Amino acid sequence: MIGAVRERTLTPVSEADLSRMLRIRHFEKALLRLFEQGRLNGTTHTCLGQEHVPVAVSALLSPDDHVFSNHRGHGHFLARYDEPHALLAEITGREGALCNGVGGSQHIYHERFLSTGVQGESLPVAVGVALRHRRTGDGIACAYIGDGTWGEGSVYEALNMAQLWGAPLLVVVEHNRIAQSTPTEAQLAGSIAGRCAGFGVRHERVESVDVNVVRGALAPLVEYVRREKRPAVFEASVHRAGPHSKGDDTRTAAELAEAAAGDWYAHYTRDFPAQVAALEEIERAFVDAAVENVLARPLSEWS
Amino acid sequence: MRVAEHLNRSLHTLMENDPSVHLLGEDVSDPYGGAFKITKGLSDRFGPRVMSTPLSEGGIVGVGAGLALAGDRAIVEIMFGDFATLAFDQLVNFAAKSTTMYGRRVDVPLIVRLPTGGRRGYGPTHSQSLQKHFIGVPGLSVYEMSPFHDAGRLFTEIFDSGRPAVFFEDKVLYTKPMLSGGDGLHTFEVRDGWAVIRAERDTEHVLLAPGGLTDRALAALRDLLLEDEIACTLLVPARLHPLDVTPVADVLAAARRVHVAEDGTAGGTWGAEVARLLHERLWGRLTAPITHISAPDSIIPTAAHLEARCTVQPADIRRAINT
Amino acid sequence: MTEFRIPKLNNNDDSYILVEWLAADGQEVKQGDPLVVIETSKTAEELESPADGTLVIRVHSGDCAPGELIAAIGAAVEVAEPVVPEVPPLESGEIDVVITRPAQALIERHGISLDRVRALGKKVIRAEDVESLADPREVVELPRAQRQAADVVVLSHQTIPAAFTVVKADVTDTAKLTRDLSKHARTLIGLSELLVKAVADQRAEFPHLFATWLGDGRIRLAEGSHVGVTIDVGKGLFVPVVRDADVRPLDAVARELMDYRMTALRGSFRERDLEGANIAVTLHSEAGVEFAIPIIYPGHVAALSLASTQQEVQPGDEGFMVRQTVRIGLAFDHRVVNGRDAALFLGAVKRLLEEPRRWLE
Repeated sequence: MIGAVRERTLTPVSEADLSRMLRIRHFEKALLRLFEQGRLNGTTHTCLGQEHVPVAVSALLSPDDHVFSNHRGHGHFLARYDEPHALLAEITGREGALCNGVGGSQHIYHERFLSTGVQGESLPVAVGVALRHRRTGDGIACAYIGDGTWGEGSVYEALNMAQLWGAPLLVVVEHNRIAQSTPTEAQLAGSIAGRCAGFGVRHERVESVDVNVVRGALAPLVEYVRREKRPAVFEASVHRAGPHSKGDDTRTAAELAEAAAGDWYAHYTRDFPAQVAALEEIERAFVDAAVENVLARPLSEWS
Repeated sequence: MRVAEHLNRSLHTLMENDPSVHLLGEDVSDPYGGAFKITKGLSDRFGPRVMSTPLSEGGIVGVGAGLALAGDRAIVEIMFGDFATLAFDQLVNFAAKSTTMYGRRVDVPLIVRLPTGGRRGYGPTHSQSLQKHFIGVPGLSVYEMSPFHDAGRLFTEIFDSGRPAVFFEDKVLYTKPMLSGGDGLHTFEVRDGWAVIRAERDTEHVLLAPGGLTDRALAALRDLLLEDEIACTLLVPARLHPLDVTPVADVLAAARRVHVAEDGTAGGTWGAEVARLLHERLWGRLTAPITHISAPDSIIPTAAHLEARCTVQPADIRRAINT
Repeated sequence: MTEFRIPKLNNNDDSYILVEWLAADGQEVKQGDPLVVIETSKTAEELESPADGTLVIRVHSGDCAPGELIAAIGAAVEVAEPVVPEVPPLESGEIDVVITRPAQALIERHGISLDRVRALGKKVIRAEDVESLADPREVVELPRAQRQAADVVVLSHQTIPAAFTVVKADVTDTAKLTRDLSKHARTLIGLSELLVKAVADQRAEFPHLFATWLGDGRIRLAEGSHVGVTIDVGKGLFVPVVRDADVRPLDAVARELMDYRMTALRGSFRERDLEGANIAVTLHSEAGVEFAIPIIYPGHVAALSLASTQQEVQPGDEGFMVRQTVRIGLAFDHRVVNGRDAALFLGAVKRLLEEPRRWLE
């Protein structure tokens, strides 16, 4: 089992990475606020506590690569594209939305980024896209899934085909120890590593809240997928610092405390208080301005 | 030429003319060439563009959708149409929805071929007709092979539409010849996706049926005309859904009795949808409600004498029309 | 003779394709000779002759089923005819007509030749078509005008519940008047002309007789008296319309009727001559016609008939006197008006015809 993520000391973080992590953090917090105010329609899944993973991943991807995201995908998008206004407009159904407000939080298709709301559904699709990349040689497919996704049969169909056919597919597992409300030990037998081994698919796991450590562990794997045209699974141990969607957290106080302790944010404020404080001020103001800007726009139109 | 050979040749031509076309399915590669030999010779000719896959119906439809999304065109063969249920999520929640759910038109040129229907003794899990489960899915087209329609043109039409499609192929139809011209009694005319089969113009009776019913419908039409002196026009659409009846509006306008026949059991079916559409259009002109002919509410048994009881037969069609 | 049937070659197909015969029709073949190529959905197979003898081919090519008799081998054979009755193909190879089984049975019973069947000019020959050929009596198609008239009277009978009333008018004194009127107006003014005008003049008092039934207990009243008058000079029945006959003088009405009679002789009515009537007068002036029941034109409420003038002996002041009488019939839509209205209407018309002085006022 994966224990709590503890870091003695973090490596120095670049301003760009920290800024982006903080921006995602404040974007998600702004969404929760809007929700409380009754200004968000439907539901939304925030990635609080997991922001450093997509920031680590995105720097290793090229614009030609395809990214497949899931229900908890705001961080995946914002780490790759500097377009928070367009994403917020999509979530709030305003002019300038990525998909005219049709897809909303979970269904985004922008350039080479696609998210969809059914667990495991995107993996076979990602294999198809990766097969084209294999033929054209211009990139790889990267699919984010969670630990809960491993309950879906499509994951195994996809891993099997990817390995058989040499699909350049990177699967990034954000293992946050909980599937909605069910702890991983109650829904996943064996281990993700063991399941990958069954298909002969290379697997790496990292337990760190340090964006540089995560990226450092992933870099050789991305290189392997790109060069060898083979699938690989990268498992990042994270803590879900927020609820599944909104107000639906049934974890105990002790569990919540453990999750909070495993939040990258706690570690970075401890080790780099001045840097975090300075950048956080900027990002909070930026996100607040973005919210104000987007909510003032007319409603999106769909023909 | 038999329908199976026609389909095979159409796939050869399609893959030869369009290098973006990929074909996936279980056991589709040579020398086996698919359970019904529809893909024979393709892997020998087109190599890696033809892929025999693991037994993963959901997975391979997803791969097909991925190829389509990335700029290729994909045909996925599911060995028996019954197994389409395993790919329902990929078809309904991904391929079909993706054409519109991202707020703009997204092309997903994907064809999922489904050998379908009974009358071959394959038993309950290899004989069903599942068309009705795919009717009315936003973004998804439903086609059915007929002996009148050029399969290659239909495949091209589907790809050009940018919408994914399920393409049902009746397994008995594979063994029947392609039809054109006429059969001595009826003339066969193909116009805008419809086949019009008739002995006389402007018949009082009109029967609509998907391509897989063709042999049984023709047998019924023959008996109706020669024995019962009832002339009935048969209309066979290549695309079951969305259904556009405009090209055959003249035939329908002359009708006083309309009948719809289909394989599969009643309840939320294509035939019911056709009746809904035509009742609106023909209300006041018909002298009786539209007749619906389908299989009894049953699984399809294996033994020939039991199977015959649970599948639509020519006599069922004749009886329904001549009462 | 040995029957040569197609064996069951596999489990999948319920029909095969006969690709080609390897021996010619009528050829002597030996047992074991390759005879025919049959294609299944998977293979093409050669079938061997089961016997020695002359090959008589029944099915030359195309679709065939397991168990089907495709040839016979042996001496001159009688092979049962296929059940589906067929007409020998024309030279083009196309089958020209389709004969149903009931029709075929009648053809055989009556010994009717195929040429006569073809002469019907139909693609599908049904029993009723053959029955018409079996009946020696001539069938004639009516002229177009009569077929149209047929449609109109059928519609009238199907849709209008008509009642009928007839009155007798004494027109003895009117005869002299019409002569004077004709002379004065320089056109023929007879009883027909007087009746058309007399009917038209009743609209103010009897508007319902000129109305149109709309259904649901509602009628639409007319904006003018447009009287249709039957004219039949032997070239078909026409009903030209005298428009606004209530507001035009008698001589104008009479002239228009004369024009219509001339037109009927030339046979070239224009559409507008025949449109827009809201009541009709049918003329039956042939001698001896005592009275006639008119048909109400669909869309009208009433139609009147004028029979020929009769001589009648009536009791008078000094014994007996001879009087000229004529019967005027009124068919009316009983949904709109009742017998009393009809009688009052006819009475008003009758008075106008019986008291000619009124025309001079």
